[in-house]
Amino acid sequence: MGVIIDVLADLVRDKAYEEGMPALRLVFTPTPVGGKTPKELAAYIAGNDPVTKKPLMQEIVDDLTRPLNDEEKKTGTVKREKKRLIGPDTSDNIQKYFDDRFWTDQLPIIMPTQERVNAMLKGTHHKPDEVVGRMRVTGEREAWQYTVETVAINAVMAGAKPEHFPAILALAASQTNAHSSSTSSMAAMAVFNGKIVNDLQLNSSTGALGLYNNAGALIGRAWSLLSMNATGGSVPGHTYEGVQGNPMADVPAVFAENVAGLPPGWKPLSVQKGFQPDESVVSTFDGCQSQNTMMVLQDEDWQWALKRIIGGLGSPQRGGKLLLIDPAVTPPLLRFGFDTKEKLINWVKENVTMPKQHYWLDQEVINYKLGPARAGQEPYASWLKAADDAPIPYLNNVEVVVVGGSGNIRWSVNECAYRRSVKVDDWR
Amino acid sequence: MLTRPSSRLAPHGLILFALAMACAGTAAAADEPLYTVLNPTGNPPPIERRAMAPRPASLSGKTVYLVDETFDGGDKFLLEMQKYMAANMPDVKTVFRAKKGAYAADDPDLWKEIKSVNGLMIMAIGH
Repeated sequence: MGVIIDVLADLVRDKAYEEGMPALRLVFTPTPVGGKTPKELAAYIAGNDPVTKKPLMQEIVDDLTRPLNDEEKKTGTVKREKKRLIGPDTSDNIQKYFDDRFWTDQLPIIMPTQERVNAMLKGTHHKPDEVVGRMRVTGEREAWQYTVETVAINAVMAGAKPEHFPAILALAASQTNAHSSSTSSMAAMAVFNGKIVNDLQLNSSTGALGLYNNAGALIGRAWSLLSMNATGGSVPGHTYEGVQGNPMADVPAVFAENVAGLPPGWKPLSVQKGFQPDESVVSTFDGCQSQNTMMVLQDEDWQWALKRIIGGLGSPQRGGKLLLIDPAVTPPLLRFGFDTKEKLINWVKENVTMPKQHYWLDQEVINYKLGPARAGQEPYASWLKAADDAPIPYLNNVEVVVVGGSGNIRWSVNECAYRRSVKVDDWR
Repeated sequence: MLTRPSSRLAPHGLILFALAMACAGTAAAADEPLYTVLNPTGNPPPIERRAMAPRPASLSGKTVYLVDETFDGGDKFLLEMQKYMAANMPDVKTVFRAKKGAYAADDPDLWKEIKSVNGLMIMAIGH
């Protein structure tokens, strides 16, 4: 049986249901357990389950000794069907029906009628019932499958046009969920390279990440809605747990790399990932937590400044950083010796570090890396044995993208991890 | 039929009832265009039901494993529970263990060990 904090009651019952034990016996403690003193935890144990209001330890004994009922002994396969059509009804009532089930971002949608979905489907040669991919709300939850038609329905709801559809399908094929259910309130980004940037007029200049990127906003909203609905709806407490939410989550930043602003020697992101320069490609990033801007670095202390701003963001448990570099900031970076993106990436991975004793005191590191370290998984096992002041090079997912309109000498560090790249032309 | 414990998928009858009531309660609806729309959700996988482990009639003489899955404070919580059980349930043997690997990783060696002593398990998930 399990003992879990009470705020996760809905989530853990969902998980038990998905795992085939809907009546799994669970007991709940007050929230949180982390950060409490032994005395406070002893009071939890001697007290009541906050969900059932019954004495916690008596519940545990009962759950461990009460004979199983028929429901708890059941085996077999259960198929889940969904209702294909909704309505007829007014747009206001359907909007409310969708909002109530968290099938929307709580903003007005375009009604996904069969006629509109058929028009969207004309944007691709793929068949409506073709499976595009599977998504989970987190790595531990069940994977739901979605088809070309599912993607088209969400694209219509977002207000996208058929010409956007191959780009949206490519994002769907990346299987990157723009709405991870992590309590850390993650968002996502996508970067386009190649011919499609001009075809769709995707912005790579001023306002590229928002506000001024019509195609990016429409494609991003479609990706957002699909991410909610591919997994059955993004329901707070059940399939969305972001403690504070994220201002980048409503519409993920979808933009183009400013390829014209790349200095000699710096390759477009898609080429770094193995594609040809003229191929239309979308690259996804997730785990995004923040965007922090800086002005140009100085010759006298650029190393110190780079380590400070990149190392100052977020938990070292997260190995991802995305550096968004305005073309105006590339001349000093070239002067510092970064004549390729890879040199800058490797410098960051090697030089942004944290002393061992602080690394292993970070709560996210304890949660996610201590178990693997104790199980002998490298590099964590060696990092656990290192001297207290040994530098831990914890960044393992660093990317550089050039974007911006050169209105000032600014660049930004984003808490984002690269996930994967997909060819758009495969989805035309 | 197995039903999800949450409200994510409401029974169809309730959906139709709610829509019917919404239509009936809105006089203006008669003049508005009506839409039939497509469901935007994906397709869930089938669920394989699993029977729960049989229970003993009593914990007396039994070994209860207190298993921490390594999230915030789960270990400290279980060690306090171990103290409580030692003081209040002296005929129950307890064994504290941290599950091997990341929090969601399987630990078949531990499950085998628990089965080998016909033991029971309380797993605490910190946070």
